[in-house]
Amino acid sequence: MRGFSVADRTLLLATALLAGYQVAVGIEGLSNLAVVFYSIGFGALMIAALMLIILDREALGHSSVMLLATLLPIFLALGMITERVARSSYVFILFAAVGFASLVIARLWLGAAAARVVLISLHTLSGFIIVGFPFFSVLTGTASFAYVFVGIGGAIISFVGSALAFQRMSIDACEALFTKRIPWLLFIITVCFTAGMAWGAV
Amino acid sequence: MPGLRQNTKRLFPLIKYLQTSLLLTTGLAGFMSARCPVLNLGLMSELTLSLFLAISGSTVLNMIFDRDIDARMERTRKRPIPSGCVSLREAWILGCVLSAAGIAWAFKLNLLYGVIVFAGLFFDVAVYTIWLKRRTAWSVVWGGISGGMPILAGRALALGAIDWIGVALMFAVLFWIPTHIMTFNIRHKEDYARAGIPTFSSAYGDQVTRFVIALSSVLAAVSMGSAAYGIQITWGSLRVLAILSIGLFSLAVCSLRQPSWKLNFGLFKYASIYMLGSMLLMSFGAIG
Repeated sequence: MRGFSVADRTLLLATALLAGYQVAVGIEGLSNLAVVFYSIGFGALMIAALMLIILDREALGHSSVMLLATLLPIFLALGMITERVARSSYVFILFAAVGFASLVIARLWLGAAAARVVLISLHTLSGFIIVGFPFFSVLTGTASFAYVFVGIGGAIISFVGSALAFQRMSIDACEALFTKRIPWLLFIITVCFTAGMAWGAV
Repeated sequence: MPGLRQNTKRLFPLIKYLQTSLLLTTGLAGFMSARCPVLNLGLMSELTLSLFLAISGSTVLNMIFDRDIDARMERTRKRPIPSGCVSLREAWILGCVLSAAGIAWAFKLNLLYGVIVFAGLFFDVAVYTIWLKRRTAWSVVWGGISGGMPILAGRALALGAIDWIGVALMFAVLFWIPTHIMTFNIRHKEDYARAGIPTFSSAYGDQVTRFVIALSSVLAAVSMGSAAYGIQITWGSLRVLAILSIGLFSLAVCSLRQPSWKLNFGLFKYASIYMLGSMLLMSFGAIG
């Protein structure tokens, strides 16, 4: 398997810098809780990009990258809910906490299959939020049109998450399609979130 | 002119420009953490040149004293002195001239700054390289202290005194050094053994070394975080620093739990990115 090209590495560096910018500047002014959740989400994106630069494609098979891929949608969804619907955010926070606890319990005592079921459930709900919520906000007029970009970024995250899961299951076609485009996908995700959050607020 | 270009090309590898640049960056970050670089451009230029000369000089002197080790190690046998590309006499002249010029310039700028720069060179060449490197694996601590001197020097020049933030920054570099050096020691274990250089890896085993790396990365992150808080960098920059630190610690823990050659190399590379990123945040993180 060929390593990343210079262009791929440049994109990954741009992704890391942009995610770092979001953590440092892009989420200023939000509530403390939203800032914490977004920081973990964008932080996971930043570290994932740096790890891919350093470890190349081999990083994709590493368990720490799988962990980052799990943190990313969940914490972005948590940030989004906390930012936009503060009153009912505790329901999702509780759900995420129970989900994480179930994941740890399943991993430690119930085996890999049970852990996968919990993980898929968490991913599905987070994916549903980060894709559906921005579009819903735009349609109901609680966010401007640019917030759609966040939904597009969310859709790509969901795709990347599924592709990673399939790759873990060694589905060759998916692996070939996915690993070639991962720098582009991560970059587009970050651009979409940055643009959507910067221009999408009402 | 072709002669000058050829000589520069031949002598340039003696100063290990990547390592020198990283240490120089820490010195500049120390200065910029206390003073605006734009308003103090003259002083900062003198700091850059004096520090560059002193660090390059000590690196060349290290190369001279380590030439027999370098010749025995696969990784370093092609360095300019063991490969015969540069004569010992040339290296001595270059090392002494660069060191003397750097230290003299540093003393001319400020007495305290000069003392710290001299201490850095003394610890690096005399204590670390000549005295301890071939005797004990703990020499890395002294290497770490000398590595922490440029950042302390930069801040001391900016303030005219040593403060707790400067000391915290020095400790951050000191604790970061094991992450950088020991991962390298593990990677080139056989090479170091062939040259008869004691390392943590050969003295206490790889797993203990990985534990020390994880512990020192936590201490480096705590020291860096304390200094950043003291400098009053913005909350946003502090968040980025926290994420970079968590990344460093997580990689160290992963390397402890699931050791592999690739992960060890990843940690080594990440440590450099961490230091560079931290220094940028120390330099510009207060702007906002």
